[in-house]
Amino acid sequence: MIFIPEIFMSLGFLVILIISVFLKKNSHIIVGYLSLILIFLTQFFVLKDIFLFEEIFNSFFVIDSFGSFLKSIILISAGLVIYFYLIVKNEISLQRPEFLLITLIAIIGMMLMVSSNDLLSLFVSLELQSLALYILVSFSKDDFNSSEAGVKYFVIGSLSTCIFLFGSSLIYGIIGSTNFSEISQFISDQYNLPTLLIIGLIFILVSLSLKISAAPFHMWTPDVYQGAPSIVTAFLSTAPKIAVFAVLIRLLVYPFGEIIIDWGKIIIILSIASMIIGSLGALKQDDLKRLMAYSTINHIGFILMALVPGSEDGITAICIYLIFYLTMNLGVFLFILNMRRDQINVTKIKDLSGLYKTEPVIAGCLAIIFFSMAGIPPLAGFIGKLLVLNIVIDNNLFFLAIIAVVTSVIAAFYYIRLIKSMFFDSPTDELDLLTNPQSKLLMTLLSFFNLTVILYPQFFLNLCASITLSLFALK
Amino acid sequence: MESLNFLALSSLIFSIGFLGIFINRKNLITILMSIELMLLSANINFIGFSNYLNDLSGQIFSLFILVVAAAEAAIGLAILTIFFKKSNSISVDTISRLKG
Repeated sequence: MIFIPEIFMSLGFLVILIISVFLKKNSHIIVGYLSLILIFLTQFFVLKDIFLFEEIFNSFFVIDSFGSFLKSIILISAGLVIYFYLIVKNEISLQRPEFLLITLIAIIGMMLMVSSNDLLSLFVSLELQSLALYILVSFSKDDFNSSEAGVKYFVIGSLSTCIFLFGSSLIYGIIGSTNFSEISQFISDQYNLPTLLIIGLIFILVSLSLKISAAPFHMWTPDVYQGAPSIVTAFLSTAPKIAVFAVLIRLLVYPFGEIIIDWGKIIIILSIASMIIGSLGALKQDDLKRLMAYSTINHIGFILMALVPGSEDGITAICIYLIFYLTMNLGVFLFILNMRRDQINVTKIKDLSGLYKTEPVIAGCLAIIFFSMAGIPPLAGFIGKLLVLNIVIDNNLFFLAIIAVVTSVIAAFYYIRLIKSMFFDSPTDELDLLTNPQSKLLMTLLSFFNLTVILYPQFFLNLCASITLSLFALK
Repeated sequence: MESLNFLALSSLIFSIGFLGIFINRKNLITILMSIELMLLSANINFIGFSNYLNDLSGQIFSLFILVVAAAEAAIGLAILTIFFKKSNSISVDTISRLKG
């Protein structure tokens, strides 16, 4: 039996669900540790089969090393977010076992998404993930902002689903099948492709860019990031983004790889718009979570740029960038989760001022992570940006490279403004001290990773290059 | 191309749903209805193409869409209920606290 990680995860989810009913006190803590154990065991099953290649369930799903690798990254990031949930003091309304159970459902949906090989299985798993995320965003019932963010996220998410379905119905009508390998077969046989097929592909691209919040489909991102509870924002900005990127890469490289000339232009437009809006929109923000939303849009633009050539090196660079993006984002959100004044969560940028005086170690770690996001050498973010720019220049897309460099200079301005306010501004009201040692340790580890990655970049390059091979083996 | 007339119908319904989300200034329930319309327009496409191509998988896809649409409507109404409890209104104009 080959489909073990997902089946194991689903059965484990049901077991935890039954256990959670019988727990009386501190049920969310116990369920949290049980979910961490489940994620750890699933990780083991995913890594066990990492070099396998097989199409299963009537080629509804495909198991390959690209999918397995991204699944393991998704599991790592989700596991870290659940660990954050356990070590950080949460609002009362989040302290329920259902929160973790719904997170587990979302993780199962993402794992299925990464390995789906048919538009039908892709649609169902995409919905499994999104429906769980709508609930998570509006989970904090006492908070008006959370329910408003939930309404916005639900409307935009359902709109994206409808667009996806309309696009896939057009593709089905032209090809007569929804399977990726048959779509690929049809496209390589035909010289003159019908326009309806291209329209269907554009519909699907629009829907997926709504999910990864690439501009000009980014409008929901700042509102949802700000309104959702911080722990949900931390989850929302890492694991689902990786999963949707995996889907986007698989869809564009494998079935539609032959018509790169058509979708390449769309990706270029999306990437330029995301980089410009991500860097300019963040300049006038005063909320740290909103700023992180714009920073995400900027990073998404950068990652999309590496997809334009559709080559093996490009996908390798995307995988490496996603890993680095994950460590940076989780580091910042771990700090945001710990930002408290008089036991109340605060997220304004001016609350950061004078952090160096009260918490020198944390301020240093945060500064390293912000510098890494800005792409200052020799940090991890710089290596990611270097790899992406290298690929863009190799493919003679110079205007794209110039826009990327200019926008990352603008983006560096607002990251450095944060660092300036942490180190040089005088504190108005001091934040509460970080009391839990685990947060400090994790922040230090994440920033240490960002600092030392320059010593062993070859490791990541070789790893990601070997897993992207499986994606191109079919062609 | 006589038998592809359903494409006009489904595109029309899809456009009505799409405009319903963006032009509507009154009521959040209308947005839910528009979403439902758009899902059904995809269903019309699937069933029409399935009939045209003599292939069964389109009809199976449309059954899956119906199931997911039901789940989505349930979750959407639940979120609307929470929102209504907080704001005492379901008008679109009340969704304006988060901006900038």
